[in-house]
Amino acid sequence: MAFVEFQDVTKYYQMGEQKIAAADGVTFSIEKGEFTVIVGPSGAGKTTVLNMLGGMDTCSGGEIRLDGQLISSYTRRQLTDYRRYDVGFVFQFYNLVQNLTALENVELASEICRDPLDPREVLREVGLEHRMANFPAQLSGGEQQRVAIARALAKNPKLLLCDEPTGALDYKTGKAILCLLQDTCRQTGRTVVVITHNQAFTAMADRVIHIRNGKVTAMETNPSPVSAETIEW
Amino acid sequence: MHRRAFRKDTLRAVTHSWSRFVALLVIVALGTGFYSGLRTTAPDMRATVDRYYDENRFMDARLVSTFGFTEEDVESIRTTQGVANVMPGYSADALVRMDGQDVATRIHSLPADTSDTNGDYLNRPVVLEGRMPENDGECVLSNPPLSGEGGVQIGDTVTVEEMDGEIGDTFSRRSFTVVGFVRSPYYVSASLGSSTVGSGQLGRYMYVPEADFCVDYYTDLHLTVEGADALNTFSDEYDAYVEPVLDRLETLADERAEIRYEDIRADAQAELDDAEQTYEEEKAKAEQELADAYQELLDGEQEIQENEQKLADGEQELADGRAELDDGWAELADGRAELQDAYNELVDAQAGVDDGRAQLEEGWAEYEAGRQELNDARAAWEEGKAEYDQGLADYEAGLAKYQDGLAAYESEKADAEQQLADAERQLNSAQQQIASGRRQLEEQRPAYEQAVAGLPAVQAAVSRMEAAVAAGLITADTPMDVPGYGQISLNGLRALETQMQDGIREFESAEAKLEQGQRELNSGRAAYESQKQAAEQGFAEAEQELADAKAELDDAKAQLDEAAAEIESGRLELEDGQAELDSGRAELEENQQALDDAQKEIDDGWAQYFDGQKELDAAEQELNSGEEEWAASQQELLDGKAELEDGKCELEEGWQEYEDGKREADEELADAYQQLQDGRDELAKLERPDWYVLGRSSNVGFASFDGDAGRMESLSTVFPTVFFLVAALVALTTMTRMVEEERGVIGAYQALGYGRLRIASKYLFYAAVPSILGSVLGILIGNETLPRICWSAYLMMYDAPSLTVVFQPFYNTVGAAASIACTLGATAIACRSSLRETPAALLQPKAPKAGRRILLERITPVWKRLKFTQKVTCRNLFRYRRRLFMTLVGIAGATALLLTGFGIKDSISGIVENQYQGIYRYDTVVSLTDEGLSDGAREVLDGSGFSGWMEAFKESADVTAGDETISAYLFVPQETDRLSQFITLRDRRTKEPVAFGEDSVLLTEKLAHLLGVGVGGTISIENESGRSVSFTVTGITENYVYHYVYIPKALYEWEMNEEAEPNEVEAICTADEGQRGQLLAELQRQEGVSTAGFTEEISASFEDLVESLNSIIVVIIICAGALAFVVLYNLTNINVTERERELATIKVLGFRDGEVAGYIYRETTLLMLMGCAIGLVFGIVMHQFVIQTVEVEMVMFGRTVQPLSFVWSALLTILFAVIVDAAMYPKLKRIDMVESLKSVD
Repeated sequence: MAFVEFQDVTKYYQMGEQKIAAADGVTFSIEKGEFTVIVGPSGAGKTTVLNMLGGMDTCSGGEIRLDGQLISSYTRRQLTDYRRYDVGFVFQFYNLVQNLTALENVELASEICRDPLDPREVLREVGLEHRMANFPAQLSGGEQQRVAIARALAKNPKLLLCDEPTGALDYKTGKAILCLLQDTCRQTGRTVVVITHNQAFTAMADRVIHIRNGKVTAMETNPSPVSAETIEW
Repeated sequence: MHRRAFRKDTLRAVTHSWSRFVALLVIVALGTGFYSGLRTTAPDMRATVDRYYDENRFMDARLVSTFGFTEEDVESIRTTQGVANVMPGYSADALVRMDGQDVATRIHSLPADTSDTNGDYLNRPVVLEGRMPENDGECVLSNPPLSGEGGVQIGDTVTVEEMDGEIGDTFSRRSFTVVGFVRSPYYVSASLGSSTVGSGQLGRYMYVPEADFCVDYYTDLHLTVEGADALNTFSDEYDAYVEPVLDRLETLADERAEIRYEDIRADAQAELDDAEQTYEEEKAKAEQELADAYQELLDGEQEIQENEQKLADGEQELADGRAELDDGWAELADGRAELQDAYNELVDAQAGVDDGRAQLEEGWAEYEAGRQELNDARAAWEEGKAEYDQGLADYEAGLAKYQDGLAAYESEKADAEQQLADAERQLNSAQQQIASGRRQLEEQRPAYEQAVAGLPAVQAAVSRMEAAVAAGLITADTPMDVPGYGQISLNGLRALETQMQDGIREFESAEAKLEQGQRELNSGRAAYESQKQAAEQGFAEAEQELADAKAELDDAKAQLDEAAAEIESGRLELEDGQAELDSGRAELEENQQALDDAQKEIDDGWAQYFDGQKELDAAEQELNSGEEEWAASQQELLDGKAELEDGKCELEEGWQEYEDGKREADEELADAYQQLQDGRDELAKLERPDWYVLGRSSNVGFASFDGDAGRMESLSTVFPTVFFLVAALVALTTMTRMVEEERGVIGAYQALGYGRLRIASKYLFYAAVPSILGSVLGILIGNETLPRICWSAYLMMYDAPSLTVVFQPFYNTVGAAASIACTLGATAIACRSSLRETPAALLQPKAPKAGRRILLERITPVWKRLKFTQKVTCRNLFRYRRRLFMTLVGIAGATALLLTGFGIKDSISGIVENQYQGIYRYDTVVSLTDEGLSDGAREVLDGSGFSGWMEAFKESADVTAGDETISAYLFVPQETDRLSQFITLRDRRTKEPVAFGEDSVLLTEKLAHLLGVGVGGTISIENESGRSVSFTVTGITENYVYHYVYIPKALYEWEMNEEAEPNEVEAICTADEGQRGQLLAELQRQEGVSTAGFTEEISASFEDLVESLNSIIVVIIICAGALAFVVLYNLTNINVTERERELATIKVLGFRDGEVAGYIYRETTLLMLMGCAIGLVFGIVMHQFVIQTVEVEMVMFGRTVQPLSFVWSALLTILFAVIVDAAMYPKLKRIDMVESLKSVD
């Protein structure tokens, strides 16, 4: 049984009288420790899928499983715990708490976990040991994203979800972040799911899931993913 | 089209954010409502009272004079320029017994005409129950000042018991029947002012008809100023308007006072002069009277002497009278004899006359015969004549013979004739003599007749005078007016009478002689007649012979005219005969006449006789009456003697009386002189009258109301301003936040090409709608409720009609305008800063506010110890400084308001508790009359009902320090060391006892505060008798109600030089509830007890006051709570909205709902706690301020806020915070995590 399993997952949004299907029978699975890229054009339903996977949203139908747990049946409270213990999130716009330093932002996450990593350690790992006391406003976009990743990692999650992690970053910084994510995956064996519209990222993934119009159009495994540093876009 | 879309967007901005919209509306409504409501309270109160004044024609000024007012004064005031109406009247303070208690009452007169149309009817009382007095002896009373006191009912009788001066000098009656209860604009305040009677505090007022007063001068003069009622009486315009009129009245007052003084002085002077004159007159009169009396007494003596003389004279006279009477009787007898003689004479005379008559008859017969003869002779002669013619020759022949014969005859005849002629002559001469005698008699006859006629009158006069002399009226020599005799004395009269009687007698004898002569003459004449007749006969014969001879001669003449001669001689003879006849006849007739005369004389004589007879009878009658008179005179004389004796006695008494009268008069005169002197002294001491022109501000009710309205006003500037500021801040924050939130939209509009103003208009519109609606709502509710609630509380202290809510444009406009301006201004500022940015920048999310280290982090030990979440909270708190500030101000303000509200309640309710349980240890007060404490009362006080009692002297006094003068009670305990058993003397803060020894002078705290003196300071005390003495303050003691100066008896008496006679008893009652009333009644029955009561009655009435104030406080608390709630909700809402993304992120991070909420709540709680703390501190300050602003002079409100109030204020703030948090929770729960993924748009 796969680590992550989407089984015919649907998500409808009631927009006035119209029912819009954001996800229309999405089915895929991801194995533990895989670096997965979910790719698709804007509005294809990637974020819906990510939200459901991250426990931020519920599905309208189908089953979602993570590590054998039926996430789709979770209550609101269970979902909170799920997010708390099992999922780490990296946002496109970092979503750091501006009023907290880099370290504190990490601590914000680690403080609520059962088995957190040492925030300083994590920050050092992401290469920010010298910026730990800085506020987000004092950091560059890449640094902020690193803090965000550190925050996600510090929770020691089963699953690291990244929503367009390079979307707000320049090419170089974006690449560095991708490297960091890939390294994290490789070194810690953590399952990482990156959502992007950038087809270029597929090269560095173990598994690539294509989504279009709320449906998985293709799912392929990449037996020889390249290093993030090599990819170009 | 785009306009419609824009408008739609604008409207949707409202509909899509109801909570913000409503919050804004409520905050504006609260701020505006509270502000305008409280702000308009004072103006409404003033307007209400102003209207009440105008409706009931409250005076604009009152004139008081030390001498009262006269009608002229009233008239001159009436005609003073600017004075509209004048109501002269009377008033007096008196203790009036009503429902078994003596109540210090001011009694006012009602004018005779109390109809509405009488413009001069001022200060009209309003009937609350019953009716106005219609008859003398009726009265209306004020409502009892505090509920439950003086249960007088309509129909009861109240009696004027005691007052300064005589009741009868002021009132024409003492008892009045209560016919109604009124409220008067003259007494707006429940505290009616001070009085000269009783305890010094007026308990009630009363109106009685003017006619029940009997004062000479008007004691009060109330007047209105023309047109002043159009102005608000509390305004400066009113003062400015009325002042010139008052100034004019002041000027007039000086004039009138001078005139009045002069009048009074002149009147008094005139009176004094009159009195002096009267005195002088009375004195003169008395002296005159005395002199007269003296003279009279002397006269009396004189008279008695005279009367004695007169009596002697009378006796003499009586004797004389007797003699006279006897003479009279003798005379009468003489008279009668004389009359008898006269009678005889008359009878004789009658006989003579009768003889004469017979002779005369004979003469007549002779005469007839002669005449016959003559006729015959004539015929013979005729024949002879014829014979003569024939016998002429005869005659001639006979002539010689005849001539011889004739010659013989003639010689014979000549001889005879000679003889006859001689006789005749003799007769004639006798006759002549008689005639002359008769003539003489005739001449004397009138005198005689007069004498005869006058005699009786004289006699009458004599007798009258005699009587008069006898009566002692005159003396005999006193000339008196007798009619016909002029002034003649009695003696003269008597001589006259004698003379007259002599005259009569003489005349009568002469007459008698004459008669005798006549008779002789008559007889002579008769002899002569007979002689003559014989001679005649001889002659006739001779003549016959001669005639014969003649005839012979004639015959002879017939030859020759002998006969002619004969005839001629015959004719001559005839003629002679005829002549003789005629003369005989004449003689006869003469005789006849003489006879007739004689007869007449006789008749007269008879008449005289009869008269004499009558006279004599009358004289006899007179004599008889004279006898009677004499007897009467004699009786009179006897009586006179008795009378004289009586007169002598009387005279003796008169002298006695005279002496007594003189002494009495002397005493009376001395008294009168003393009175006169007193009057002079008084006049010298007469003071000039003083007029006082007193405006409305001198009216106790007006002044205290003005003060209270002022306090209300200052209160309403503090409270709502804070409130308003908080509300405005919240509105400002809200709108700023909204504009910031809409940043992207603004950018989009700008990008679309909308003008800045147009864009701003959306937000201005958004701000304007709730501001305007909120303002209107707030004003409507605030104006209607707050003034009414406050007024109902004030009505506890004021006797006035219910509130008239007057729309106050100024405060309402200010409130609304300020609210709207604040929100709109805030919106405009926020808009401006946003609109100043380029559309591109606006389309970009606003750079998040950079995090910063806070001060606290630098204090490492503290920071380190904080939990992470706490650090976050701390950091977050200081991240949004403006919001922090806003929130703190809002919460602190609300808390401060709450605390102030609770604090005021504490302060006021503390008064009663502190004063009546903490300060006063006694619970019973007994007022004493001048008689002092009787044994009966002592017995009751010593009884089991009381555990202790103390006598004290209490009076009101003016206490001065520096420029401040405050009226306070002087309290002088009879036993210095026992004062602290009855009154707690301690410091308010430290609760340390304050010592009260023989040299102590203690002030109560508020008094010391008002005077600005501390321990060691100097105060001067002026007591009721006007004595002013300085004291050094030795201590200040806690006290809440009234001002007291505690002075030991010995010190007071030494310094004031006056005895501190106890007039009150303070006692501690130990009886249980059931027996207390009975105990009180027993006390009141005792001699010397004026009133007795328990302090709990007073404290109960204070409780009512507190209850009423509670309602104001509840309003304040509710408003403050609402404010706290709205502030917290709004700010939390902003906080949440602003940080939605952050919250979504932490949610995504796996924060549980509780943790997310806690993340926010920690902040709000911390803010709330901080705000609360600040608010409590601020609240203490505000409470102090408000208390001192609101406080009335006589009362010290509690200065401290009870701990429980702090707790309550904090708890309420927390409660509101909790409610807000709870309300916010669903919103937090609803935050969509998906939001966090989106970019900021």
